[in-house]
Amino acid sequence: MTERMTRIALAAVLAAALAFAHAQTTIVWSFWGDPGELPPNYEVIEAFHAAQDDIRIDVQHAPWGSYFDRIQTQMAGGTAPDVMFLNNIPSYASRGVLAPLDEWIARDGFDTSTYLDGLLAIFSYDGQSFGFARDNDTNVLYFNKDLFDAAGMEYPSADWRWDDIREAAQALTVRDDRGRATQYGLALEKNRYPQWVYQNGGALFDDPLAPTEFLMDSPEGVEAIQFIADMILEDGSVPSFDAMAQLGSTTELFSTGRVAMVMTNAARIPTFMDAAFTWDVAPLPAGPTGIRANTLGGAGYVISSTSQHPEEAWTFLQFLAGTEGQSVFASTGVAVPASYANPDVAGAFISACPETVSCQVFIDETGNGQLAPNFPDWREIENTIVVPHLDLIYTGEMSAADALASMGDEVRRFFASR
Amino acid sequence: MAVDVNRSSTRSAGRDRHKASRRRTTLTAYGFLLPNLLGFLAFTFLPVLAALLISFTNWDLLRPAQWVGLANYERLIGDTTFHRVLRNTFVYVLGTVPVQMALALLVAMALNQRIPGRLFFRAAYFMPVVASTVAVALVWRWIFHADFGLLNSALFMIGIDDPPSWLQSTRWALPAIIIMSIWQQIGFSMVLFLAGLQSVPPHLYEAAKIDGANGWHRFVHITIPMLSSTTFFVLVISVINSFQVFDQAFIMTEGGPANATNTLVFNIYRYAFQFFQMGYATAMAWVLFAIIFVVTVVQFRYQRQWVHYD
Repeated sequence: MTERMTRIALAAVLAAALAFAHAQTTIVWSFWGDPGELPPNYEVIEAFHAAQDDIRIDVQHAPWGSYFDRIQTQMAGGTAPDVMFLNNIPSYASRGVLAPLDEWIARDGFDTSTYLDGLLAIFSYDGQSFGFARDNDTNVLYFNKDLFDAAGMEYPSADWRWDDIREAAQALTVRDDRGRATQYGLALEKNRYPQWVYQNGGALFDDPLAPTEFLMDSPEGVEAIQFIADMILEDGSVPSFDAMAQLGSTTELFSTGRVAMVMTNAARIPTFMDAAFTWDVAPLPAGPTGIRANTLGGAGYVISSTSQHPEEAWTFLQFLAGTEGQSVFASTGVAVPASYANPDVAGAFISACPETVSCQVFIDETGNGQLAPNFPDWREIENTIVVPHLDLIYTGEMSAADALASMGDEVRRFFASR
Repeated sequence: MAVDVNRSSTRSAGRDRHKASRRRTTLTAYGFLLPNLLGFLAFTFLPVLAALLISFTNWDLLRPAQWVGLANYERLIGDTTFHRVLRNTFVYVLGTVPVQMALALLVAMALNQRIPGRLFFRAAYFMPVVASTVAVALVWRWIFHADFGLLNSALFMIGIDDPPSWLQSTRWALPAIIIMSIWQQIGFSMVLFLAGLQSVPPHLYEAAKIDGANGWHRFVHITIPMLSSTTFFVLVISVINSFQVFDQAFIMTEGGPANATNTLVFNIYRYAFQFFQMGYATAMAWVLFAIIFVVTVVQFRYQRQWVHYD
């Protein structure tokens, strides 16, 4: 009797479990990140699980260094995660490993209007949308208030132009008796040269996503690169990029008070909050004619073309890229959300950002974001042609005019050979 | 495995027994070789062969590969970066190997004497070999710092006002990496030379001394010839290792400035894993293989003229 009841009970439990399991679909979401960066990912999953019962999320996490090798291998074997955090979208989309989203976006009326146009563009390939950025790599000008005060100088203002920052950087550079800089005025990041070219009214290509013509060797481009080189070589107020490999990154230089100003992104805020001085942020200076430009780009979410559960993956992607998912990441306050024009999302960023910091600057500057080149061959062109020529300018071996002319020849030859 | 076969001109039964035992010996030998051989076939020979096939395709890891014939090799001929990379690699090998070997021999001879603290010095010179290249490269990056580095501070103290900016200079970055590599590799060669020196029979030196040979003569006529098989081994290994230089460029300079420290293996890595051009990368890898192969064959061919085994 009791044995029979136990059996029935067991069968019932088993049936219920099976039915329950059947109703749920598990999909895999992959992302990279250091341990410190992971909590918001799990927070998003919890929120998603709480919001619905049909889809469960399994995590595949790897550190940055091994993430891409693993994803590439999985793609080649047709076992890529359903939803992936990824960058360089065109190079993957062109190889057919990502699912196009346009039909779903139209069918479900997913609102893309709060996203920066350029961010939508770099997640597109051949006119099709393949995903959504999580955040934008917006740069701002961080400045050390104590060093400005000590030099008796006014803080950077919103109407600064190139000449203003150049003068300030010179005034804030301190040298020892042998002429070596013990404190620099300004530190830059090597890969940010496109924003300087844009601020000077130049461009790298006619179309950064589908280029037909190389334009960086125009007079505007030459002037912009020469301006950076002059601050490094003539003024000595900006450390050379090779020297920074030894001195430390913008983060290290700024947080140890060895540089008065740096241009970098929001990820530095927590580190700088630990610094032993007061600081704030200002917009990037405008170019000589008042043009404003900022970096545009960031990693984001895509769906694998080999996913067994594309509908469920799309449901999760909408959650990640919608108000809820974006707000979770915005409220970490370390990255400007990609849907920055969504007031809820922008509000989540501002309220997480330290009170002593002019956080609205990050949101405002995001609107100035301009597309850097992003097409399948760009990485090779940049690494094998552009960067070696820029090196020659920054070491003073060539003028920007000569080096960019030679760069232009080589880039055109590269295109002709394809 | 040297089995004398001709001795068995006696009875056929004895010959058969002899044959059977020889077959067993052969099988046993192959049995012992097998694990290593399988490893070699699976993880070295087949991948090398596969790489050769890939070098005739445009494989990008994801899309199916297409046969492109010799296109990758033709592209190498016109690729100025590749020419630069080849030159850098040869300069590195020629700059590193002879100096490193000469210094290693000197150190080995010094540490072969009965001097106080000999064990300590042996360990000290060997330390860079076991230290991780990443850690070592990070320290040297600081040593080479143009303004505040240890090296330039020392140069300034001895009166050189305008020392090179090392890793920031297209002219001095490669020499800087060569200097670091020499320091790093001395220990390995030194240990081999030490072992070689200790196998030189002392009576040779004693006899030479009695015959009136001075230190230099003893070095030239006893040490050098008696060490020649060690020297040959060190040379072959050092040359092969130097052609494969990668870590230093990867960590210290990323091949820059302006490709000044870009080496063959670093370039292969970039094309394979940054630009996903497996075909082009494997074509370069095969050029590297061919270079190392030819250089090594030449070394083996000419060894007869100066290497003595006895």
